[in-house]
Formats: sequence, structure tokens, C-alpha cells
Amino acid sequence: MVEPGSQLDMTLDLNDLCRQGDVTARTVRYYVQQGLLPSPGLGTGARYGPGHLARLRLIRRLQRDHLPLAEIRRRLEGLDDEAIQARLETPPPGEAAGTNSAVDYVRSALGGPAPDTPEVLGRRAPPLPSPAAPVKASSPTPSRLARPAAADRAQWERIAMTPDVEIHVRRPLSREDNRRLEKLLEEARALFRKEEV
Amino acid sequence: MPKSLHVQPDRTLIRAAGRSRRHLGVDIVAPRRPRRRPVSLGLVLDRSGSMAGPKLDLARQGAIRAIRSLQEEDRLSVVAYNEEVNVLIRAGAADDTAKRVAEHRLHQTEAGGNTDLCGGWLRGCEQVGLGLDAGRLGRCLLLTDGLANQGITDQATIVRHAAELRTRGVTTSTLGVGRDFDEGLLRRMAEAGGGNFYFAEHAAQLSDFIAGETGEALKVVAREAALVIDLPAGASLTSPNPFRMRTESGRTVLELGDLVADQVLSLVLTVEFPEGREGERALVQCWLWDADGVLEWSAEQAFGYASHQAYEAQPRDREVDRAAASAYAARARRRAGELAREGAADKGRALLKKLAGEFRQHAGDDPRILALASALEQEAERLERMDSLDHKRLEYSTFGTLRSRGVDGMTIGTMSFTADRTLQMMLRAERHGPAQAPFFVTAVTADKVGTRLVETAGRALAAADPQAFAYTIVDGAACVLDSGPGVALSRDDELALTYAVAAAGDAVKIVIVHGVLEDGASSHWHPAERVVIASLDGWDEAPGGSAEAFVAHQMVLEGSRHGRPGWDPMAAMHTDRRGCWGDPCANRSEIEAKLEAGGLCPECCRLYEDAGVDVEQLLRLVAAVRQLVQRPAGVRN
Repeated sequence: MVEPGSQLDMTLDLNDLCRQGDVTARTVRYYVQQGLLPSPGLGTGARYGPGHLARLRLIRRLQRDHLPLAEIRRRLEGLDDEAIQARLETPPPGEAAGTNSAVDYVRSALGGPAPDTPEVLGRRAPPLPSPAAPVKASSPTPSRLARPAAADRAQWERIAMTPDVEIHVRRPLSREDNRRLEKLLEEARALFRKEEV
Repeated sequence: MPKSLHVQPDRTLIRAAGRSRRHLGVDIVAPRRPRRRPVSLGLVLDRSGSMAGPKLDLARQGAIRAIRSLQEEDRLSVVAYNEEVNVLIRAGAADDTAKRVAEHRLHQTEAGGNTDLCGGWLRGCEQVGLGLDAGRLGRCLLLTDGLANQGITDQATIVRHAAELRTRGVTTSTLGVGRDFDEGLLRRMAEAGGGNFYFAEHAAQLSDFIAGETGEALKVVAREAALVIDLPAGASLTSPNPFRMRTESGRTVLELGDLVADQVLSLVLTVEFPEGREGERALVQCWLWDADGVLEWSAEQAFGYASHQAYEAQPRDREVDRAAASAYAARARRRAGELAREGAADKGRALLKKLAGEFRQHAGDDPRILALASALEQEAERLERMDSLDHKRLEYSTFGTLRSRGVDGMTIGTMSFTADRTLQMMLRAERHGPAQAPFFVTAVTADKVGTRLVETAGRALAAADPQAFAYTIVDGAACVLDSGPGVALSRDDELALTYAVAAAGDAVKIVIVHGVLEDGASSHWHPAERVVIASLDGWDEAPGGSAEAFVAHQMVLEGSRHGRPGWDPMAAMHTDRRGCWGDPCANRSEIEAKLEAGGLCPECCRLYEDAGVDVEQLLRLVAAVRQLVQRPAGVRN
């Protein structure tokens, strides 16, 4: 069974304990019922002390290691508040090394933070480019996202031949290439029409 | 707390000589009332040229619906991409201003250009990460209708990014629309990213999927749930369901991802046992885990080593066989589709035919597994002719099957699950008592306590008159909605339970729950569904306690409705006290006193008689109930 621990400083009510321990009231009651936490006494005026909080934090940490409650109870048995505190102060394996955040991860994959675009909250946003109005790059893009040098006024057009075949064209094209493209499309359309029949 | 981790083996004996393989069906039902977690939501929208027209309109509508469902404590970001990535809304509080700006920017977004899928999505994840703090859910939803043809296009790299971001608190879900996206990539991103994969075959579905995915994020009750399994020495575990599995200090951990309120997740575990000595037991234990400690359920299943004869003779659980067959079929179909796309349709065909052969060999006469075998054989023949749309449908439907998601793409809630469960259990439940009994009820219990009470009550009634009373017990079907001892059963849950149970058969049903009915009554009659919800709250549930008499009383009263559609035992109620079952009762002790006095007044007898009830029989049953109350506690079992 759990030792009641220090009774000197029972300053927390259930809400405080839940908030500081990041658990629900139901969870606390469950742990008390399972003998993992010492009983705070009955009724709504039940008070909890720092010993409860430390024990609760250790339970949560052991749970993060996927230990079943029965095993956690076994490990907590016979530990006094001091021993619990000592265990809490040892960082769990792996955590000390630390992993970088999602933001760091994305920035290292893409070679930097997202560029400042005019679409920042608070400023009036200019309309995004439409197919009719060629894209104008608003600021230098980071290396991994960079597009071909000539593309800053360019725009890709997708011309569907069939639901499964498309021709991609980067515009603007020279007049010469435009003529070739027209010819290509004509041929291609004829070809696919024939195939369908 | 009702138990919502249920484990059912296909068979319980294993071979003493030689290895054996057992399937376990695992059903998990997430709790109902969430302590809502704030969300950092990132929407990533494809605005390449092919999205022009209704697709972009509907994506916009869905995004706006999603944004409106957020609250101020949530964080919102929106990214639109073609070959260029634009952060429309940087991560920030989802307050009214941010929502208005987001809607405005979305309306301005127009389609054109190419698809830097990975760049757009990663920027979306970056924004989600910027809005992330302790205890907050990070969710990124990527929408696309095309192939990654700009920026990072290597699939393995993209999938690895998704898995890495998941460990850093950002979950990725993917939504493909139309015929031109890569279903394999999007599905793998969602699986590695811990999220969901949706296929909008028609643009009209887009808005619902975006809003639905966001709605689920707002209903998450358990973050990063995992099923932890302890196996006996020498045993090994696999699962056809595509959840990441790892081993951690000897235990197997199956990462299930976030669970939504009421979500039902069914999966199959396949355990291979080593040889052992006859008579020995092997124990498989499992428990649910989540980052917030919401789920504290565990379950265990014992297997017994047996001789070859006993092993061969044991009965099998058809439902678990079917669940396993369905999951393995989905996995094989998905793999065959991948092989076909890689140009190895012959290998895919062989895979499907091999599995169909195994099904035929082991299915016996089970029509559903045989039908599954035929479906696999037909698919094997069709494999090479499958077009791009067929492949998308295949990926989407198998994702749904393996992850317990409904035809609408969303999680399956408890109501249909309970109805389905009850139906399955009723088909297997045994009827006790004579075939033509004039009193008959089906008792649906939430757990073994309820079942024991019904059995004791049933035995007492049968002893009083073997011809009068019959009943069926559906053991445990009410567990998913019962709130548990001392906890209020809300009106909504009570109705859900009533509807779910009513779906199964015509008999009058008594659902025995532990939860407290909202108005504090002992039971409620739902006339349209012909279902009684009876609460054990306040009754002594111990063997020999008053709950047995209460249950027996309910069973007789409601059993009198059987075959008498116009009859309502409420008609035999009066306002004065006569030491009769028709006496008014305000509380449990008055009911107890009435049952102890145990009789029927002449007026009530006449009413029952008019309804076609054999009063002699009824009086014998009433006397049996009286005996249950009167005997000293703990004398009989």
C-alpha cells in the first residue's frame, strides 16, 4: 500500500493537482482507487500535497514508458517522497539527448524558414496569381524550393488529351515554339481520337 | 469505467507439439466525453492549374467550414501551393480576425501552375509546428489532385519526412481528389504520418472530407494511443493492420494514433506460439496506452496447450475468423495493387490466388469467407486491367477496412457498432427455457455482473414454473455505452443504446446497465423500440443481494409483453398500496418492500387475465421473486 507521505503541506485541491499534473480528475480518482496515489480523504474539500504531485508525475513518466499500472504500482511500493523526488530528478533515458522540433526539421529539409510573402496577417493581401496573370515571384525562394531561373514570369499550362494523358507547357513560348505546339496538339488530338474509336 | 478493450480469440487451445498460430480480434472503443485538446491545424491546398473550377471552389468551401469550426484557443495556418508555396495564413490564434482574413485570402486564391506537393506540405507542417505547444494536437491536412512533379519528388524521402514529423508532434492526413494524384504516395504519407487518407472521387466530396477531418481533430480524446502487448516467452506477433509496430523492452507496441470520441477500432493480432507441455497455459496480456493517460484498460487471454485430438476438436469463433480473413484480404489486395502498378501484376495475381486458396482450405462452410475467396480470385483476374480510378478506389477502400473507417471516410461511432455487435451476439446467444413460453425477454447486459444477475433470476423463475418463462442473455453487448457504476448515463447515451439494441430482432429487450439514469428512475420503457433500460444503481449486486430480485421482477414484468403487443404492464398500476406489484413506488426501498410483500391484488390479476396472461403462472413467478428478496443475503448463489 502507498504511504501517505508528508501531511504538512496539503495545499492543493483536486483542480490544482489536475492542472499541475496535466491529468483529469477522473484519472486522479482512478489512481487513488488503484492504490497508486495515497487517499486524500473524503469529500470535495480533499487536499493534496507536493508528495501527491511528485508521485503523480512519476506515474505519468512510467506510463510514458508503456508500463502497465500493476507494474507501476509494484515499482512505487515502498518508495517514500524523497525517493520519488530523486527518481523524478534523473532524466529519463533518451530525453536528455533531445530531438529537434518539427519546425527545425522542416527548415533543415527545405534549407531555411518560409520566405516572407506579401500574404502576412495584418497586411492587405494582393490577389494570388491567376492563370491569366503570370506568376511573379515575390521574393527569393530558398534553394531547395528554387525554380528554374527563367521561370519568374513563366507559368505552366496543363493541356489534357485524355483523362490519363496531359501535355505540360511552360508559357510564354516563342512564336516559333507556339506554332510547333499547335501542330503537336493537333496531331496528338487526332491520335487520341483515333485510339478511342 | 466501462471496459472498452475487448479481446476475442479464434480458438483457445494451442498445440503442445509443433507451433500454432492464433488470431485475436481486438475491439477498442474510445471514451465518449472528451476533455477537448486545443489544436494547431494546418490546411495545405493544391492550387495547381488542374484544380481550376469546381475542385478549387469546393476545397475552398471545405477549408472555410473547417476554419469556422475552430475556437480561439486553437491555432490556424493555411498554405496554398503550386510550383510556388504561399503561406496564406501564418500560424496564430484562430480568433475572429484570423478566420475572416483566412476566408478572404482563400477567396482570392486562384489556380495555375505545377505541383510542389512536398514543399507545400512541409511548409504547412512548419506552420503547424510553429503553433504547437505542450498538450496541443498538431494536424496538417494536405489536399492535392496531382503528382509531385516539382521540388522533392522522391517518394521514400517524402514518406520518411512524414514519419519524422509525426514523432515531432505533427500528424499528416492526405486528401486526393480526381484521377491524377498518386494514391500509393498519399496513403503511405498518411500511414507514416499517423493520420488519415481520403479519396474524393468526386469534387463534391471535398468539402465534407476537409470539414470532417477537422471535426475529428477537434474530438480527439486520446493522443498517440498505443496497444501494448506482452507475449509469453518464445511467441511472436504480427498484425495485418497497418499500424507501426515496435518492440520495447520485450513488449510489443502497436502505435494506433489519436483516437476520436466514440471511435471504434477493430484490429487483428496474429500470435505464433512455440511448442509447450500439455496442460500448460500461455497468457497474452494487452493494455491501452495514450499520451494523456485517458485509457486505462487492459485485457488478457489465456491459451491452453493441448493434445492433437483436443486441438483439432475445439470450436472456432466464426466472427474472429471472418475479421482475420477480411483484414488479411485487404492487405493482400493492397499489396497486389502496388505490384500491378510497379509492373509485376503476375506476382500480385499469385499473391491473391494463394490467399484465396488458404481461405478455401480453412473456411469450412463459412459463406462469408468463401465469398471473400471468390472476390480475391476475381480481383486476381482483373488486376492487369485495373485503371487509375480502380487503383484509387482500391487504396481507399482497403485503408478504410484496415483502419475501421466507414464508407463516408470517417471513424465508425459506437451506435452502429453496438447494434452490429448485439446482432452478432444475439445470433450466438442461447435461449433458456421452453420454446413457447408465455413470458419471454432478451436481456442485454454490460458485463459479467449483469449476466450473473440475469442467470440467477432466470434460474429462480424457471424453478417456480418450468413452462412459464424463457429468456436469452446477450452477454456484454451494452458495455460500450454503459457509463459505469455511480456515473450518470446521459439521455443521449440511453437513446443510442436503445436504438442500437432495438435493431436486433423483435423480442422485448431489457438492457441492464450500471450507469445512473438521468431522472434517477430504476428503469425506462421505450415503447417505440420495445426496449427497457434498467439501472442497477443502488441495488445490492452481490450474490444473494437485492439486485437479483429487481432483475427478476423486471424480467417478469417486461416478459409479460411478449406476444401481447397491446399490453402494457403499466396498466396494472394503482395509486393506493395493496401489497401488490401495482403499488406506486417513489424509490428503491419502496420497490424492495413491494417485492417482499410480493403479491397481485384481484384487480391487477383481472387486468393481466384480460390481456391473455395465465394468472396462475404469473403468481408462481411473482412468488419466486418474493423468495429472492426474502432469503437472507448470501445464502444461495
